[in-house]
Parts: sequence; C-alpha cells; structure tokens
Amino acid sequence: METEETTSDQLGRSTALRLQQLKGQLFEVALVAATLVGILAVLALFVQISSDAFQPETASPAWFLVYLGTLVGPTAAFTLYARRRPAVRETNAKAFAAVFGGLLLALVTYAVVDSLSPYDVFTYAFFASLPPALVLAYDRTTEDRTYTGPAIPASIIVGVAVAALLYDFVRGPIGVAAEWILYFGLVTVPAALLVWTLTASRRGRRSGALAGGIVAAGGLAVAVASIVTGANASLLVVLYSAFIVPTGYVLWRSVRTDPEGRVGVAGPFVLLGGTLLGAAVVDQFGIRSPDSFLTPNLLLQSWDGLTASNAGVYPQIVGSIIIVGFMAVLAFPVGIGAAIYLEEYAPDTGLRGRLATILEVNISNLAGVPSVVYGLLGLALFRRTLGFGTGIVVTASGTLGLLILPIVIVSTQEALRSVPDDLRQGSYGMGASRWQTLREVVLPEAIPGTLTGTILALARAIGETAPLVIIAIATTTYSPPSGLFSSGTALPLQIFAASANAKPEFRHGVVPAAAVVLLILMLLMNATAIVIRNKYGREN
Amino acid sequence: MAPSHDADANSITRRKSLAALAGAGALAVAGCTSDSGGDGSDGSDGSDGSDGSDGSDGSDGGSETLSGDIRISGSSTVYPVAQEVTRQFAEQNPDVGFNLTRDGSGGGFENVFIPGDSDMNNASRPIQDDELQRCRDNGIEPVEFFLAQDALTVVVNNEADFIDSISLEDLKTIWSPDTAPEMWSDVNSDWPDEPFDLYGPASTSGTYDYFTETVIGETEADQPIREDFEGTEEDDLIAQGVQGNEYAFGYLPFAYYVNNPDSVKALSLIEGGSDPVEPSLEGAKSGNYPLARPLFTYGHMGKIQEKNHLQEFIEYYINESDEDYIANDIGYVPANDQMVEDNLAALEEAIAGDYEYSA
Repeated sequence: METEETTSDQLGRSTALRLQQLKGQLFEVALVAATLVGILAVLALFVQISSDAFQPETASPAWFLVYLGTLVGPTAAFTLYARRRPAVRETNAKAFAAVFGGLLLALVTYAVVDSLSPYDVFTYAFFASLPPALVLAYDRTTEDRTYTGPAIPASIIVGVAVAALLYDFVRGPIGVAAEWILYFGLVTVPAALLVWTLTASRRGRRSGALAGGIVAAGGLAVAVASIVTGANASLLVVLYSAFIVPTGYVLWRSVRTDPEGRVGVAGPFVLLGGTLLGAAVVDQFGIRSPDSFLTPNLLLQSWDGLTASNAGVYPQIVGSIIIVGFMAVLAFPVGIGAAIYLEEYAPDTGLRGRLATILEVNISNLAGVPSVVYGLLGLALFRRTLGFGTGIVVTASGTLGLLILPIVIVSTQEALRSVPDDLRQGSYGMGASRWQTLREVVLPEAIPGTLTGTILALARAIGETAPLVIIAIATTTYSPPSGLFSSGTALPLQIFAASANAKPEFRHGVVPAAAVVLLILMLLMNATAIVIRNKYGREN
Repeated sequence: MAPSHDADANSITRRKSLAALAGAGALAVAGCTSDSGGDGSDGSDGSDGSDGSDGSDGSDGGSETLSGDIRISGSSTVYPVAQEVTRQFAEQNPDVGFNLTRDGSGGGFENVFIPGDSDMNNASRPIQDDELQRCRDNGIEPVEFFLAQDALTVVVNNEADFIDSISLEDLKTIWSPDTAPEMWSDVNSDWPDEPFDLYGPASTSGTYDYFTETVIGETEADQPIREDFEGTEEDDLIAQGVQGNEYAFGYLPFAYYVNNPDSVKALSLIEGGSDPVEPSLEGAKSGNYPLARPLFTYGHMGKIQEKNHLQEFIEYYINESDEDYIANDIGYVPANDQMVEDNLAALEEAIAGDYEYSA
C-alpha cells in the first residue's frame, strides 16, 4: 500500500515536472518563432528588393553557371579552407579589409575631394595640419610636455581659422598648381608618413625613412606616368596612395612575417579574379546577363527622370557622404564629450547631481523624438535664427548632427559604463589623477563600444529623409555639392522622388537599385564598426 | 649619451630624407607648370568664370557661357517637368548648377520661396492670397508662368463593360458626401445592382484638392467628399484597387494612366449634355476635356532681373513647355501657343521690372 502510494505520488510529481518542462519548451519554441518571423520578414524584403534591382530572371542559365564556376565555387572553397586554419583566416580577414577598405577609401576620397575642389580642401588641410605638426616637433625637442597635449586640438582650430582668414590670399597661388599635386599632398604624403612611422616603429628609423621615401617616389612616378599617357593623374595618385600602398603594405608584411597564414592574402584576389574571369567568359561567349538596374550608369551619372537606363545618382551618393561626414565632425566631439562628462565627472548628489540626472533623462527621451521634429528644429535654428539658408550642406549636417547626438551620447555612456570600476580604482590606487585614469585606462577600454555606437548612428543618419525634406535639401542636382555652404543633395530624397515616378520601370527597377546602393553604404559603415570593434577587442 | 647620439644620427636621416622630398617637390613643381598650361581650358572654376565674362564682352554673343546656380522648389507634381527641362539645360550649359526640391506647392512657398531662398517655385494651383501678401511683405514679386496641365482620369475595371462614359453630374453624385450612393443602380438604372468600391488619392494630394473643388464643389455635409473610399498617396495602389474588383471606381492623375494604360479602363466624360470626350492630351489641350488642372511656376522677379542665366533658363523652360515629350513621356498636357506667348511676355515684363501679379 505504502509503495503504491509512493509510486502514484512520484507519478504525480513527475507529471507536474513534465508539465513544467513542457511549459519551458513551449516558451522556447515561441521565442524561436518570434526570432524567425523577424528574420524571415527582413530576408523576404531583401530578396524582393534585390530581385527587382538585379532582375536575375532575365539572365540565361549559362550566366549563373559561369559565375558559379569562376566566382562562387572558388571563393566558397577558399573560405572553407581558410576557416579550418586560424592563421590563414586571420590573414584573409586582414587582406580583405586592406584591399576593399583601401579601394573604398580611395574612391570616396577622390569623389569627395573632387566635388569640394581639391584646391580648397588642400588649403584647409594644410593650415589645419601645420600647427599640430609644429607642436609635435616641439614636443620631440623638449622635456616639458605639460602643454603640448592640449595644444594639439587648439592648434588645429587656430589653423582652420587662419586658413579661413587667409583664404583669399592663398587660394590664388595654390590655384596655379596642377590638381594631382594637391592630391599628392592630401593623400600620398599622409600615406608615406604613415608607412614611415609604422616601419620605423618595427624595423628602425632608417628603414622607416626609406619605406616612406619609396611610397612618395612611387606616387610621383604614378603621376608622371599618367601625365605622359594622358590618364587622369589625380585619380591614379589617389588610387595608388590609398589603395595600392595599404594593400601592398599589408600583403608584404603578411607574406614576410606570417609564414603560416600567408596563403590567406589570396582571399580577395580569388574574389576579384573570379569576377573578372566570369565577366570575360560572359563577354567572350555572348551569354545573356541579367538586365540589372544597378549599373555603372546608376553610380556615375546624374539623374534622368524619363529614361530608366540613363538615370544615375552620383551627385546624391557623394552628397550623402559629404553631409554625413561633416555631420560626424560636428556631432562626435560634442556627443562624446557630453557622455564623458555625464558618466565620469557629473556628481551623483546635490543640485548639480540632480541637474545631471534631468539632463540624462532628457537625452534618453530625445533619442526617441521623430526625425521630422528635428527637421523643424533645424529649419528654425539654422534658417530662421542663424540665417544660414535652407538646403545647404552645413544646415543638413547640423540638423542630422542634432538628430544623432542623443544616440551618440547614450551609446558612449553605455561603453564607459561597461568599463569595470576595478580598473578605475586600481588606477587611482597607483596615484593617477582622474584625467590620467580617464585617458590611459577608461577611454582605451571604451573605444570599441563608443565607435560601434557612433558608426551605427552614422548609418542611421545616412538613411534619414524626412528632416532633409523639411530643410529643403535638393532632391536633384546635376553635380555634387561644391562646398559646405553650397546646396546639398542626398540619396534617400532621390529614391523617395523616384518612387512617385509614373513609369513602372522607375518604381520597380531604379528605386530598388538605388535602395540597394543605400543599403550597401549602410552595410559598409556597419562592417567598419565591426572591424574596428574586433581589432580593438583583440588588442585588449 | 646614447640617446643624444641616437637623436643626432636620426636627425641626419631626417634631414636627408627631407632633402630628398624637397627634390621630389621641385620636380613636381616643374611638372605642374607645364601641365597647368596644357589643360587651361578645364582648369579651376575661378579663372574659367572670368574667361566667360571676357567672352561675353567680345564680339560673339552666341557662344557666351552661362554660369551660376538656380534653385527651384515646390510642387512634386510639377517636379517631373522641371527635372527634365533642367537636365537638358544643364547638359547644354554645364556651368549652370541646379537645385531641385520637392516640398509641395505650399511647403515650397512657405519654407523656401517666401524667405527668398529659391529662384522659382512650382505650384499645382495658383498662388494663394496670403502667400502673395507675404511674398510682397518680403519684397518679392512672384511672376506667374502657366506651363502645363495635369489631367484627371476617371477609371473603372477593365471588365466593366456596362460603362464607357460618365457625366460630370453622375460623377458628383457618386462622390458627394450628400448623396453617397451605395449601389451603381442607385445612380443610373442601366448600371448593375452592385455596390461601389471606391478608390482615390488621399486628402494630402493636390489631385484630391482639385477633384473635390471642381467636381463636387460646395457640400452640405462637413467633409468635402464621402468618407467610405480607399484614399492613398500611391497612384499604383489606386490602380491595383480598381483592378481587383469588377465594380470598382476611382480617379487618378492622367500621367499615371498614360504610362500604365493597360492596367485600368479610362472613362470618357460628358459635360452638360455634350458629346463624351475621351481623356486625351489633345482633348485637354484644346480645352474640351473638363478635368485638367493648371500647373504653374512662379519666378522671383528681383532674381530674374539680377541673374542672366535665370532669364535664359526661364525662356528655355517656356519654349520647352509645348514640346511633345511633356505629353508623351511625362503625361501632362503641354502648353499651347497662346500660353507660350503670354509667358514670354510676362518674362519680358519681369526683366524690365514692370511685372505685377494679378489673379
């Protein structure tokens, strides 16, 4: 009897247990379902957009076979091979970052500087870099370094101010120089200096100077060669300095110092070679490619509202990059500064403590304010109060800067908060001051989180449309903005305008293709954030 | 000892490399002077501009290069026309920079034109009295150019065989909030005993404003149009809605219909017992088709007087406004000869500074 009772008791208990487990399992299934719904919806959207943009159904099956053979197959095989070997994988990632990051950097630099006029950019860059260079040189010669640190940002501001004052006198003489010389000064000289310092720190000063000299001489050789052959010397100098030099440096270093992972450098070239080979085969045999709307025309021409194949968004792409770039210059120092104050300096108690709490709550709320409201704010602030004029780059950058400021502050605060307090206490225990602790301990730890948050804020800003409509940023221009006070234009606005075009090939072809371009810009920014985070994460 | 020695050696290396760089710089300067002499024609903007003014002082007036910026704000309905004309003009005059915004007729006046930021404002309706007043308060005289017309098309499902034309009175009966019939047969006993399924532009659209004013007019009810219709910003969705139901009924801009003619069936319109008029650009151009709304652009007189390139552009714009592509590719009713003449006269007056807007 007793036994029976115990058994039924046990049975009852195990049923309850089973029910408990079932509940847990159901909950997990529900969570998985929720995740899948979200991911599948986004995926379906991407498939829809890219199928409209690339029109894969218009290609012949042979086209897919060719690229499967030349591009997808080899790349997949190489990736599988690399995945098994950590050393190869790491070198592979580095090579990818160098090749594609360099290529992108070169093209963006050229497009932006070209539209802003290399003469102006050079004038300002020269005056902004001369004073800090002098300060650094002084720093080298003296023992007393108390003031050199703070003097560097101050001297940059002074330099820019001097450039603005002297602009009218300096612009004439600089205007005499050929364009490529300015690009040489803007891109090749920094690249050479970078190679110089990097090599000097690893292999001694003599070889550092030698490497830097080789880079500079190579730049001159490229310029001379392209002038002789009649090519675009400016573009080639930029490509050489921002693409070939970093790629060459990374590849050379990997091959020399990393015998195990050396094979990894082939990764990007398998991809590039596969693409080129595929294109050659397709061209040779006259295989029908898809009638993609994402064409060189779309990327390099200006807008045409009647012929879809002729429509391009080059001014809008460059305009977006300039607006967002200048926005970063405006918003990041302010946002990061505010976050450091609120997190590290602001007191917790007393009147000032309460003030800081109120500020923090308001900043968190501001992050959720609809972007249209920021557009109205920008209109009121920049047009009505400051009299800047609507539709210019500065207004757009300022408005978007205000928009992302709360995001920058909050994410930087999060990054600072995630630095363990033990580190701070340890640093104080060693007798370091608050500023020293901040600079040497807290900030380096917080850099990955800060950069990730801020770059994601950039990615949000580049897609904003509504505030730009309100401050009357141009939908269509036929050349990119020529300065910070000239009329700006942005890609999302042209996408929005084209979606109302009466012709179906615009709504279902050009719009998705331009949206893919915008998505690629965003993904590139996110990829940069990930690369930076991983790099700093590893070093720490 | 050692550090100072090291620094010494180092400074020599640095000096050497600086000398090498300086030598390279000298070479570069040598390379540049010959180079900049070579491509003087596409050199910097500044020198180019002064060249241009020199040229205009000279004998040949025809090859005078125009340069400067033109800002055009306003209606998104007029935007396709402005976009195409500016594209052509920019191709012929690469030094003229254009800046086109789409902020709506009212938004363009309010935020851009009245503060004096834009040279021209497009509008899909005449300028309103208060807007005119505020323009004049800011010392701006708007110069009106009547450029084209945007026709409305009344559409039904392709399967709807029972109807080919409709009178304006019936149209009013169907859409008015005062009558708001449930069934087709309520309006006309020849039509089937089926419920209406109505589609039209949302109340934010200029097409909606025009339709409610012109077709429905004054209503006894509070709202200008019956409430039980599907209103949307997207012309595409109106067409899709009408495609989905044999007894659907809707109206949309003619420009959409002209570019997507197979999607829906357009009805002819009967005005006051006359013969039905098919929705066609010719019909609207001749004034026979009753549902066409005027599209305008307003110039800033002070800027027209000031900017030579703006005068040239507006003249080009006016002369292009009766071209075929306005009808065939954009789907608007082009200007007729009279309109072109009037616009050119208005431009002349504006350049002379004598223009005064009157409704």
